[in-house]
Amino acid sequence: MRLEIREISKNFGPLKANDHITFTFEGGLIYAILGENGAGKSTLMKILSGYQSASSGQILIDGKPVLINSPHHAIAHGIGMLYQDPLDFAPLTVLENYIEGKPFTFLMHRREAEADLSTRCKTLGFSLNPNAMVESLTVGERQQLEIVRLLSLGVRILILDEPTTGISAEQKSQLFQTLKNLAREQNMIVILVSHKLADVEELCDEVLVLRRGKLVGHQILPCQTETLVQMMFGKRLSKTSTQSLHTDKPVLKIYRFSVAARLFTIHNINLEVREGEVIGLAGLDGSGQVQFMRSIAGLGRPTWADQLTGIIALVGMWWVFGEILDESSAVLNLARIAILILVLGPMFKSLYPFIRRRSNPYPPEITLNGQTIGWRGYRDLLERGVAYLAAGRLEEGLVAGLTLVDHAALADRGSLPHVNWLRAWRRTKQAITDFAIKGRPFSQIQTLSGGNQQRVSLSLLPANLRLILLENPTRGLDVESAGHIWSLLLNRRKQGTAIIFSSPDLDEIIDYSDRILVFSSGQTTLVENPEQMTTTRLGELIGGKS
Amino acid sequence: MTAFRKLFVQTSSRTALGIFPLLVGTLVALGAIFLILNNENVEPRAVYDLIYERTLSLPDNRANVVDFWLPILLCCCGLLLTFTAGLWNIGIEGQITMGAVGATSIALFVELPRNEQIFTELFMAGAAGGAWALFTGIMRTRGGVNEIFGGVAMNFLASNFSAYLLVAPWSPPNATGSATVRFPDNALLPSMDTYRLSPITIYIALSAFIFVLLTLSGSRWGLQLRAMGKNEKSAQMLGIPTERNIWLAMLMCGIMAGLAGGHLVLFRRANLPANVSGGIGFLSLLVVLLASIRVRWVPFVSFAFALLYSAGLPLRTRLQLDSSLIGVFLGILVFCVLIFDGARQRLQAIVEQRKLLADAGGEKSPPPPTIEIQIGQEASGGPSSS
Amino acid sequence: MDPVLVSTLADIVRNAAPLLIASQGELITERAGVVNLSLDGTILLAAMAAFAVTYNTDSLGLGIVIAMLIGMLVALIVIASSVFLKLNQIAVGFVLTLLCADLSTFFGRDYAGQQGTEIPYAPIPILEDIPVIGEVFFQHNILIYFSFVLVIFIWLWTYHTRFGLSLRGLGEHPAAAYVRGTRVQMWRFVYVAAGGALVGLAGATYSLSVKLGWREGSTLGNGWIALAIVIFGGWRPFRIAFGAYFIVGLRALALYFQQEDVLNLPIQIINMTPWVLMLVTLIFVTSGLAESLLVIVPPRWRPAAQNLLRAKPPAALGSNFERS
Repeated sequence: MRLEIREISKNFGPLKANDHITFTFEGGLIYAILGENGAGKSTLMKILSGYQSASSGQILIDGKPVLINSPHHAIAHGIGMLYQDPLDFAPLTVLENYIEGKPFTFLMHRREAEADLSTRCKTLGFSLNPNAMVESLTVGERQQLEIVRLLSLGVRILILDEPTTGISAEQKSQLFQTLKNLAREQNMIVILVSHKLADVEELCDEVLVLRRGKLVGHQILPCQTETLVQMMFGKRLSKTSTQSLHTDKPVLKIYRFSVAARLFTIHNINLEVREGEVIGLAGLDGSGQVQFMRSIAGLGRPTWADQLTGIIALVGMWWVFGEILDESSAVLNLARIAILILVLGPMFKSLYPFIRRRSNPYPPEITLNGQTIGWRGYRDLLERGVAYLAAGRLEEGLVAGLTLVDHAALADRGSLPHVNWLRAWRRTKQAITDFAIKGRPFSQIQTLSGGNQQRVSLSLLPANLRLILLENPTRGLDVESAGHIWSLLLNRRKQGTAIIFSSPDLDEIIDYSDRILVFSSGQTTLVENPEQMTTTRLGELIGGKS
Repeated sequence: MTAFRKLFVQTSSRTALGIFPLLVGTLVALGAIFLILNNENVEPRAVYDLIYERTLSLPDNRANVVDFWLPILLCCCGLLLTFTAGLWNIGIEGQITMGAVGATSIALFVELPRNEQIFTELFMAGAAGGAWALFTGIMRTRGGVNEIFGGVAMNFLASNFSAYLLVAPWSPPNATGSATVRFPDNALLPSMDTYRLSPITIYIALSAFIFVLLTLSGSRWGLQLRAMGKNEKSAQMLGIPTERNIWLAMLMCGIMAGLAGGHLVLFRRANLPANVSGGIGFLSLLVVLLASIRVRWVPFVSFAFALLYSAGLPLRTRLQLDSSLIGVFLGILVFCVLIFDGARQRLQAIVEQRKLLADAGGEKSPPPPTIEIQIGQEASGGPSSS
Repeated sequence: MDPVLVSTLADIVRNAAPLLIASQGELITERAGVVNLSLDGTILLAAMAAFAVTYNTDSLGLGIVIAMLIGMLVALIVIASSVFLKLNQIAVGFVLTLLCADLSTFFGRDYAGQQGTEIPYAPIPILEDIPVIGEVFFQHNILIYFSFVLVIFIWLWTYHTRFGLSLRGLGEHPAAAYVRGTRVQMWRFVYVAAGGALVGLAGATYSLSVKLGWREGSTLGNGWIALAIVIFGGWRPFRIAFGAYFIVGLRALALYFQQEDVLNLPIQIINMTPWVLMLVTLIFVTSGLAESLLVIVPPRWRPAAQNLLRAKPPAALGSNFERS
């Protein structure tokens, strides 16, 4: 087995994502491709896996040139890719996911496929229930399914994009064992795209480093970590040291809180967050960290109490209009309309705590500065100093199609009904200098890079916050941008703002947290002293080992 | 201060609807109508003359067109709000109907002094239409029912409800159930002396238009609606009260539609007929689609539509055609404008891509990614296999 | 069994046929990730065209084919403008609804109220002799048989063939389907065209069998009902069929009660009931209220009950597939 790439280039307009990359991969070895964000790693992988086509260059398998036009085509040539966001069908079963993509037959042949799947799972040591819905699986299990599927299609070259993000320590070691076996025993080529040096050093035999679209280094492992870092960034990075700034005054208290995660419900979470404290939430993807933060911020899925008030309103309106039929007097009708508008509206709000209390004798309690906030919505909480930044910046955070000034105007809270464009414009200018945003006031937000978008999000937060909740604050950012975002965030602590964040990157959690809340299979553990924590230990906690 | 001036340019006139799609759309629609007329052996000239005669030739006819235009303008104003917020208020027909029903409930059964009477009637019209829309809004935010489906359902409920009223409780003695009795004069909107136009409706429609114009061009609420229309979740994260804004936008649209319905029964018809809205709600949706949510286009487009639509009726009696011919023309027009506007935008995007690639220098020009998308899986200048 | 009741049931099966066909057509369209909102207009236009062609040529087959072609053409316009011009599927569908309705009125004005041909009555031998069931299901014409065979066929197709598997993937996660070698755009065109043809056929079923003949706006509203049934049915063939029979049944049973003088309600109020019921059910299911009430179901049955209540639209519905 031998995969050669010759002079591969890919241009997006003036941008050279890949610039004449030439390399030969040999069977039986595990390769890693390292590089900063935008270094061209994922473009190269997409070209190999057929998702994009190269502008120029050649791909040869076992010395024979091949033309790869589509992922399907790539699989036919034996190249399979495991994408970071699993490309599978959530509401279909494991078995159906396994069948789809196999060589075409008219019928499903479920029984044969099921037997096939279970034998393959057995040899690889995976345990997958063929009739489970894929949406009920963990990320690690979805990965396993995808690997089994690709192998069953005869894939000999396996490309994995950030496979260790969001999986437990146990799943990781199992994955690494499987990959090693595949390379050693079946002479396959395994290519790992990752930014986690520890994983790369543990698993890989050789490392390729990309920088600005060019292949700048090739290193055989093991070697010094510093060598790899230097190759990636062209310079040494000094780690920003953080010191805690927290006081003993609690900002947020949470008692008896329960959260329904995707896979299980977590009961009885208790937590006190102090002023200026940073709390990291660690756990597998979908273990409830995000739901936990969202329910604190009042962004959770509407409860049945919300629905019920809505339905009461609907029934009330129906009643009003049903009654109009009667030849009752206009005054009475008007009174009914007035009841509708004046009474039912406030009733929504006043009903919440009432219904909540009735539905649960030991209700959860969330207090912010001593005030109960459990039933309030996000907007209300924002005014009280709780802000939330979601992971998907353009999905939940910024509005694509609006400019920076528009965003400043939206975040601006004045008493007059008109937009004060001049003030919004001034604020934008100010934010651009203060937050080092690369962009102009009238650029549309989606034209900015991810790091700049995140900086805009931070600049839009009101000044005196009590608590900031962040979902994966450095998602998709390179080390430099991430460092900058964190320094901006940590500055906020000086005003006494507490920070709660979740991240799939355990190093990030250990580096910045004052305390860590670990979510593992329906339970939470609080780690008081992260300084004495290692990534491995944290990974074990996540995996459920105590 | 150049940047500041730029700001005004940007916020006041974003990409104006190109005149090209509108022109081509009109030409295609006219061509299609000529073909149809040719097929039916009718002189296009005769149709034109008829439309002209009916609408613009005499002052009374012109007043009639304006009278027809006002409720459409009202509906369009409401729809501008909902469209900006990203809501498809397809339920507007039902809101008009309910507005008419609300006004009728007062006009038939209550007797008050003239001013109070008219105020109460209009209030009921607005309240009924508004509540009908708010209902759809609540179902969307609280019940998870998409506003398109909810609106369609509410349309059917409203039309069946008014039909029921006409056959049972509100039916005049020994009547067929096609309309109520004529309202007493005291209950009707006053008319101008010279023309048959209602000054009250004119005031309402104009102030609604000015309100919407100001709201959408310069108010914080208008900006919030715009943000919601582009991305509701992000808007929520920016601290915009999305649920309240949805309710408000729906409510206002419903009130305006209800007032339009009130005008129909209190002035134009003087009774409550079956199918009172007569499709003007959908016509308004077409107007707003054609104007692509550009506020300043709306009065002109809606006037043109109203003019054509109000001219439809005599086509059947005079030329053995059908009033639906006007609907066909408007439908083709809006459809073509949508298509050509889409095509223009696609072309623009492709040209920009090309320019970007040309700037990249003397590389072998790969196909722009956007084209790749359309071609799907076909090979598109990939690595050569030689 | 009461003969009146049996004939009422037979009427339900007959009257529900076009709704069934149209909603199954919309089902495969939406399963492929496309919303064709133009149903109401398309059915009108197809009904008019089927009647006009049959009236002029005396050929039922030609009428049906033309109706299906019209449905297909409208559906293809929706998908093409979405794929090639990135237009909003809802906007295009809505404009086409109004345009098609007006076209049907304009071109159908000469045919309004004319006497036309009917699809020949063709009871199925042997099966028709089964008591009750035979009379209810097997004493109709070919289009009616087609309607309920279609439901079974579409169920088999979506859940038991590889084509159906990729169809479900198409509307759920087009990028994943693409990676597995499905030609996303091509199959979207195919399914949308097939769905459109079925909608056209529903129109033909109205004018050639169920409502026999043509008059202005004769099927107005049925397209919207079909669209609603698809949502009500949670995008599944049998639940959709149930919805169609349920709505038609409600109306028929009310008429039956009226004849029997059990219950006397004006027809308008009866016409309102399916919409009210549908809204209530939909609010109940989509708001999650029903799911939170599932605690009363014993845990062993809970997944099954959850599955039964599931009403999630295909995740990629109405969106455009782009290869990034």
